[in-house]
Amino acid sequence: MIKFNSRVVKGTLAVALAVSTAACTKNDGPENGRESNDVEFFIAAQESDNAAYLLAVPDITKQETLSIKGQGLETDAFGSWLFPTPYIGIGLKYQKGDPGLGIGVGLGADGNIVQSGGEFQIVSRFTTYGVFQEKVLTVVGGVTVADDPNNIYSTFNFVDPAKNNAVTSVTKSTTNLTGNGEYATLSGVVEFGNEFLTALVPSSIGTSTGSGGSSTGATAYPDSVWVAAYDKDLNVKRIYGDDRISAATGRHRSQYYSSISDDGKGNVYVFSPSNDASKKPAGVIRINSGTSSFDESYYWNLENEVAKTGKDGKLLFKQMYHVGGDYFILGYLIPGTNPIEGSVPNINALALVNVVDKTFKWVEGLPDFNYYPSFGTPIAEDGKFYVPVKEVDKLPTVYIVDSATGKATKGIEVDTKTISGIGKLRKK
Amino acid sequence: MEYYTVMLRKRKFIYCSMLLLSLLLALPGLAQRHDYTKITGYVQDQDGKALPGASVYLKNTSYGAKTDDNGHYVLIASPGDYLLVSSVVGFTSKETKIVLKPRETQHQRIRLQESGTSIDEVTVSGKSALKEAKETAYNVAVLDATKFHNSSMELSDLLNRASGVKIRQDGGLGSRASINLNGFTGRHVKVFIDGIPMQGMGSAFQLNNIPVNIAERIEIYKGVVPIELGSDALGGAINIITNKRNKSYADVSYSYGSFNTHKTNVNVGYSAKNGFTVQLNAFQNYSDNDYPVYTQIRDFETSIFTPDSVWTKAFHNKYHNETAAIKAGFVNTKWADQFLVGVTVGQEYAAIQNANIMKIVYGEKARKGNTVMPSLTYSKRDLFIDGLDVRLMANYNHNYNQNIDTATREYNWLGEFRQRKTIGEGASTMAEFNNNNASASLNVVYDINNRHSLAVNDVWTTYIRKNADQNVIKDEFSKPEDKASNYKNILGLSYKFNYNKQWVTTVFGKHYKQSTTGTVNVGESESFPTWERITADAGAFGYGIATTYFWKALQYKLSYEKALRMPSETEILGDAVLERANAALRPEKSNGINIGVSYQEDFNENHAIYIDASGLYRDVQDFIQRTVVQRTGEAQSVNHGQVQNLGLNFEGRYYYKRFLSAGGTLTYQSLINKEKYTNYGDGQLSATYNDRMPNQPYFYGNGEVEVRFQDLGAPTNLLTVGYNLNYVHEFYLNWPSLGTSSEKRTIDRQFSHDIVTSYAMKGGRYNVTFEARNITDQRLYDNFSLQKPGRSFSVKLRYFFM
Repeated sequence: MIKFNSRVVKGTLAVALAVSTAACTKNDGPENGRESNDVEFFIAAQESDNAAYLLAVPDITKQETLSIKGQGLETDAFGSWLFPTPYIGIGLKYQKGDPGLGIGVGLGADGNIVQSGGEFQIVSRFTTYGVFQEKVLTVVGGVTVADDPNNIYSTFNFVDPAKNNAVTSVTKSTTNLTGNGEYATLSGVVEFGNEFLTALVPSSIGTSTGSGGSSTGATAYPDSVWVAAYDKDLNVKRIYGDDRISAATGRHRSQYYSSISDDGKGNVYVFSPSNDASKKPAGVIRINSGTSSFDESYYWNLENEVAKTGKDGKLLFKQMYHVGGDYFILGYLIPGTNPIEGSVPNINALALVNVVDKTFKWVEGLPDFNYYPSFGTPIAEDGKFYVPVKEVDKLPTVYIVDSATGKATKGIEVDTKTISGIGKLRKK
Repeated sequence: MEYYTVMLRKRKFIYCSMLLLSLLLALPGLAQRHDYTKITGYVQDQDGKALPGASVYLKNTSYGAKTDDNGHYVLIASPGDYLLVSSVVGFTSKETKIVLKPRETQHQRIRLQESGTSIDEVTVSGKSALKEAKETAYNVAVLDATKFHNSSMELSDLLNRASGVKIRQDGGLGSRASINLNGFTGRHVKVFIDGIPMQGMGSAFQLNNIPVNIAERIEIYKGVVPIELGSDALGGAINIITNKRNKSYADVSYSYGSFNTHKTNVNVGYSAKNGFTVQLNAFQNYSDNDYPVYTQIRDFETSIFTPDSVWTKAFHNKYHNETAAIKAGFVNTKWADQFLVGVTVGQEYAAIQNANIMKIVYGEKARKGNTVMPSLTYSKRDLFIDGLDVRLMANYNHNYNQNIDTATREYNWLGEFRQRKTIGEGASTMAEFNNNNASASLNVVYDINNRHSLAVNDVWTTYIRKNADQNVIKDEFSKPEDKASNYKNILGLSYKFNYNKQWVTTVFGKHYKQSTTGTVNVGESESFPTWERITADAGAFGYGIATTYFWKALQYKLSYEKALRMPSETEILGDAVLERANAALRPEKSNGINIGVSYQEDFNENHAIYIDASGLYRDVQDFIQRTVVQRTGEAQSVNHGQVQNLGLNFEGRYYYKRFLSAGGTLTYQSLINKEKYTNYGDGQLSATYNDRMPNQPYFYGNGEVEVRFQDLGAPTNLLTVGYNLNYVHEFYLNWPSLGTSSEKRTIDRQFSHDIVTSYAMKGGRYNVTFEARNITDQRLYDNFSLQKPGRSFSVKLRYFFM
């Protein structure tokens, strides 16, 4: 079973909203092309571990089957796609033990996907990523450096489409940011004025295991949450701390999924599933626009909300995305009746929440969670949430969740193994 | 449940095979042996000195024998008119017309003339010395290695010239070489050296670094594999037969070539009258591998690659290995034909210049390893009773490998570097791998009479691996220990039936058993691992039949096998970090049919031709595949995939006197994806059903011409000029049908030419060889983006005495 790794692509949103309101004009493509719009949906169809095929489609909501036979730009299998500007998609590829690779793509004149900017090399892994100031920012934790073997660092990479996809790489210590001696893994990148916010997920540093290696263990502080504010030069401007929820990340083994996001109005909502051995229930707290501490007056207990729906309140959400306005989507893993062999996907059900009205409802119209459908990386615009879903026996399909109704409808399906990314691109 | 079904089937099979065997044994009746004729005698040189190891056979039949230490042979055949042929290295082969009458014992003394040079005979006997192997019922290609002993090539270079074989190498000397045998690769192709599995022998003793001089010949079994090579090979097997000289000898050579390449090989042996023997084979390879490459270059400031490739030079590509094998014991005594105790020691170092994509470059990353391997060989013909041959082999080896990536610099393809804060160019590592392997095999052949023969072969292998990476950051999800062990036993039983001198059939069955132990996560989720040590056992059956028929100058072959490959330890247990366990994996299965016909004719004194055409059809099911999750790289192995393989191999050779030989091979294979479903346990139809399998060379061949000038300069001198071409048709890296065709990535056509000139003096005692490889300086790629060396030259000096 294929699993998807998801991360909200925050920066996309505002831009994508603007783009979607623009009029779509028709262009006549060359002979082998087709008529295409100025703005189209982007689909990365992955058929094997080694290759993906990139295509553009005018309408992703249409119930049709997209084939990659004889069409689509063949590229490496870039596992993650981000859209730092309306014009460019950045694909990133993980390679075990080797540095990773990345490319930029854009929408071509005749409705095909073309490479945009240079191909680049990055450090292999990233524990979180997001968009900041029209650049892609990826962060990897657990980095050891030669001149400071006792502390654990993180490497920050900025990919700048404005500079031909140039990468700027900075390695900084993320040990003891919380003041308790623990090492932090960063989770989430949310633009916050001139800064970005990221949740700190602490773990204790164990005894050194020899030549430069360290070991990390569970945190001694499972009942607290921290969020750091970084400026563009990666100076830590502030640390927000609170004890009402546990660390703000959706965790799946060594994966950290962002669970912080802004609401489009400058306020940042910080979600936490009850991580590790925390006694704090899953919940949401808030940082209001321009403030330097958590909003003491805002707290929402998610555990109670889940329990109210008749499900086990202890269910953990692993992923969180902003859809539009006060609406957010949470991805849960609910024990199904039809377990699949081997591995279990990260999430198999979605819930739509309104953080202001404090309403919680399970999204209807999605494949039955009992059969463990797996969810890919979504995008959101205009109060709509687009997410690729792979259901057993079916082709990978894009579902569209309308935040106004909480219902999902089927869109395009792709004749491929995996939809490894969707997005929206505008012609330059 | 699955196992019980297997057990039931297993019993059924045993009954069936026993029934079949008794029928086959009973029907022809033992009495018929009396119709047979015996030919005995001695093979001697012109001075009457015994020639041990000479082959004596009846032309265009499967009857053959080898002379013992005293030059004596015994050959049993059915009555008829024959040509008795005898040949041995260093002598001109001889044919004698004989008529065999029923129940007669005939004495035939054969005297062979020493040939002008020892290289001379090699080509001539090349037609016949390999005959024995070629004339089995199996679909086998045989390469005469002695023909290349003056060349500075490795075994992998030689293998590349066989039909149906493509060696895919990542770069220069010592770089990773994978064998593609009629579309099968990696774990599906097993390599043996004198019948012992080479798997686990350590990287300092592998095909990509062993000089060709170690071998006498290489047998390549395409598909159906005889039980003597006991393994769970789906795609065939390769057996390297080393030189077995029962005399004292010395073969010492040194070569120097482009890219500062030095190779030395010392191969000496001593044999005393009482059978005591000592053999030493030591070799060394060194190369800077600093050949020009054409690649994209990354800019330090922006980390962006240049849009176009430029020419630069490899700068961190050094490779060297030093390996020695010594054996001592007795040969040709009363109690043993061969009793040898030996040890192989070796070490290897390789600088790692680039990742699996060439443009990702390293400047300090390296790997190194060493190996220690004691071994034991015992063989005896006619042990206790006539016709009972026993061979026992055992070896143990300890391999140590280390990957080193501790640089605090980053490099570009121009060899420039920049200081970095972080450790490791890829991922910081000092990972150490310790593997302990042991294998033992026992082969017993009993010739009941001249028509019936039974053989039992058992191969037992085991290994324990321990991995440790001190640099890795361990977290609460890390595996507590990474120690795993595996043992495997493959028992084979075969029955060979010579219906008459023209028709020979072998039926066989193989039983595979395996047990794997290791630590796996039995917890429901990866987030909350529960570690437990498990043992996974599996058993399975395979069987097959091979038959051959001789008619005039033609030989026909037909064989079938149901073959299996047991899941590997990593596939079952997952690796330490990124792979999940799957104890329920089933073995991979293959049903294969081979047909072949060969034609060999000596038209008169001057012309001879040899043509071999074969075809194979294979249906492989339950492929074990890793399902990978992008970004995390997390994976699990599952039984998923079905491939249909249709292969055609062609080999043709022409000889004109001793002056000219020309020949070539051509291979076409069609590997088609027959897996209907996209994912394991999922009814989604696959978009690539019926598509050609990606990243597989499917049409390739090579050609060679050799011209020999005898007695040039002096009576026993020989000048040989050889030309070799190598062709591989372009193929797609990914599924052919997907994506816009103009933008698809391909592994470009290879078309390269080599020239070898060799001058042998004093009957082959002193040899000088000049080689020019890839003379047109083509950019050659076996694997996507990984460029192999361009034009190179080398000179080899060799002293040979026997």
